[in-house]
Amino acid sequence: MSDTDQFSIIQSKGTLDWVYPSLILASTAAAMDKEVQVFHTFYGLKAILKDTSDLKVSPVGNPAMKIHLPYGPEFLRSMDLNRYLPSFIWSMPGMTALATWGFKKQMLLQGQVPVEELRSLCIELGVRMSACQMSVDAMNFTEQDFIDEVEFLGAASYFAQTPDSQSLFI
Amino acid sequence: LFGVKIIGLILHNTKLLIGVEVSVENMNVLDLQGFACPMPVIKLKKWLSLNDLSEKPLYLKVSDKGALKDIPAFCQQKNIACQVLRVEDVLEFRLEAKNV
Repeated sequence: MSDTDQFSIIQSKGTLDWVYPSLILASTAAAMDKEVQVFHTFYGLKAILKDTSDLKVSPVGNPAMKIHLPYGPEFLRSMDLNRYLPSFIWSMPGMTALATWGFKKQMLLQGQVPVEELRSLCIELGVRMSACQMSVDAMNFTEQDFIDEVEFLGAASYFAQTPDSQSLFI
Repeated sequence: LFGVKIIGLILHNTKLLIGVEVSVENMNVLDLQGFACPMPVIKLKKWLSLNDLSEKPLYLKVSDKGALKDIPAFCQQKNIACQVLRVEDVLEFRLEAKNV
């Protein structure tokens, strides 16, 4: 199989705003008949846990994130709250949960599907999900924490399986 | 005058409706309105794996703006003839198996 028929992503981040784009790209590539593999390393492992409640998003340290209220009057919804509110607000208790709730709502209103559903769609389309064995051990995860379809690999096997088609998702 | 306008409008809409229905009669219809990227392409792929395009062409409705380029690109990859029927708030395509 030539390189152009393969697509692979190295997922090293585990927040919602990092997981959505790679799942969208992976599922589309699979629909376009590419052989797709997502290699999860470090915090990216959170994307393939059975329990997805750890997938969150926060404006803290994320100045590019746009925050719009999903509901309310038009003038409020059009305001980018990350721009107008001081950043310490977002470090207050409960703000990560609020931002995550807003992000998910915005995604659904946009016609996007929940991240768990997108993940199972990817798997259904034949996207291979692999986990870096070293990271699994380093982060104190056990193999049972992950969804059943996950393959546990070392970096060397990942490189062997996806010659010339890796892209680090930064 | 207003009445005439109303009747005209009703007639026009009926014509449109009939027009659409006639052209849809021999096609399968797939309505993917409300789905954003990547769902239209994925749902279309699923549909294609369950249905045979060479039996009947497919009439596809999508509301995602990106689909205007994505659906033809997908069809090109899959060797399917894709015709854009309408570009408004809702995009409409006609997909047909290529006769090769």
